[in-house]
Amino acid sequence: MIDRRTSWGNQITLGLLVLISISVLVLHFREGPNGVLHRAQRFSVNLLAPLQAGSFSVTRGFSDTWASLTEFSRLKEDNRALTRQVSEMRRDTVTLKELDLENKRLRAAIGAPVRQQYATVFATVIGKSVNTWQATVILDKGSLDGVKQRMPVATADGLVGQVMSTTANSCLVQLIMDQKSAVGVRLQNSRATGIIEGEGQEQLQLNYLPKGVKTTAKEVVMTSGLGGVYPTGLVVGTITSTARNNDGLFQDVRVSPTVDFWTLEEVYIITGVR
Amino acid sequence: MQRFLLTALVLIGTFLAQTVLVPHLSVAGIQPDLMLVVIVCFALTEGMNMGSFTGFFGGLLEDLVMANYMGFNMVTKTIIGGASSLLRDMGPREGILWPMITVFGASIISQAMTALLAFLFGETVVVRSILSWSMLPTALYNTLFTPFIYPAFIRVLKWQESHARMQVM
Repeated sequence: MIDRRTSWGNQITLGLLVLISISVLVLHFREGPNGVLHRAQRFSVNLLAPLQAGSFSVTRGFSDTWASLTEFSRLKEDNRALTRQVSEMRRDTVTLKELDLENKRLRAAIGAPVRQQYATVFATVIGKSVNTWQATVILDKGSLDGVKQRMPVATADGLVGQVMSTTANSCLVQLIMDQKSAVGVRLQNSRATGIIEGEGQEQLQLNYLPKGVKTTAKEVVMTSGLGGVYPTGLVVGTITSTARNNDGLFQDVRVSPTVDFWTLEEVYIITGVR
Repeated sequence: MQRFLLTALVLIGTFLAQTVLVPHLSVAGIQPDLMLVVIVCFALTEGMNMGSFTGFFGGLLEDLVMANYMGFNMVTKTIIGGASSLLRDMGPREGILWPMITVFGASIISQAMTALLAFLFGETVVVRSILSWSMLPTALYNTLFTPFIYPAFIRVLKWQESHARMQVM
């Protein structure tokens, strides 16, 4: 008798909890961004951000120590290669500086506006998405650092994504590999434009590229600036394969992102024009 | 009180591991759902009440911090927590096979429920993603994690019980 009563009690508890969950889901969907549940979400993110940052630095410390022990010989080789690369890049920097000055002079001569430079905020990844179907990361910079919704996020390697929401000390970033992400892009050689869409996997899909456009393997794909979220000229990836179907107007192009999203640690957020 | 604290600690620890450690274990975009495995462990060892509550709070924790729609994980994980407990007397109590089968089934049902909710909210991309490629690999990945998590989970519960008994004595 008691067993049956306990069993009923458990089932009623389960039913009530499911009912509360469904109510929360519907309420969250219907309320605005300043509603109670949205505010509770922002409060929790703020509360848990230091804990996540702490855990992230601990795991990073472990993985760094492990890597330095197991990959010592490779690191030595990398170091040599990087030293060589630095000296090559120093030489390139001098050339680029000259070209930049020349560009500015020529632009001034023909009355064209000077290229924009961007103000950035550096941030560290302190958490990653819990679901397979979402590709998001949490950064340790928020509205107090001047971060706002829809600001682009990148690394030295290329485009990472855009800020979806912010709290005082953290922000949620949608990666370009997220299935809801779409980025206006331009091919470096042909200058043709298209839209890169995420598929939740390592490769990105380049859509709306007309069949007539000639593409080459490893051709660089950059942001076009169309759409208003991302500035022009940020590297997105390189073309890995192209297929021309008989039907349809567009090519089927796959792009490999230049950013390694699985090892993403430090990024910069473009907060405005300098 | 001690059991309550331990449960809260396990849930928060699992959540942190899910957001900090698990992304490093991602294979072709597929990552295990540690929270789901832990909730099934609670349900199989502690019964329906504990399964439902840990599902509810585990899902809430995930929804509060990462979700676009708050409530998605709460709904699916509460149901999984409650439903998994119904299977605890259907299989052998000893061994790892039954928890593994339960985790596999729970993962499939959890993702089917998420796909259904996503469909109801017009998130067709999520539905396509779950049904076309992530459902089975995620379920298999979760199942592979069970032999590591379930025994550790049992050990923690036994340690807590013996600790509580010693305090009473």
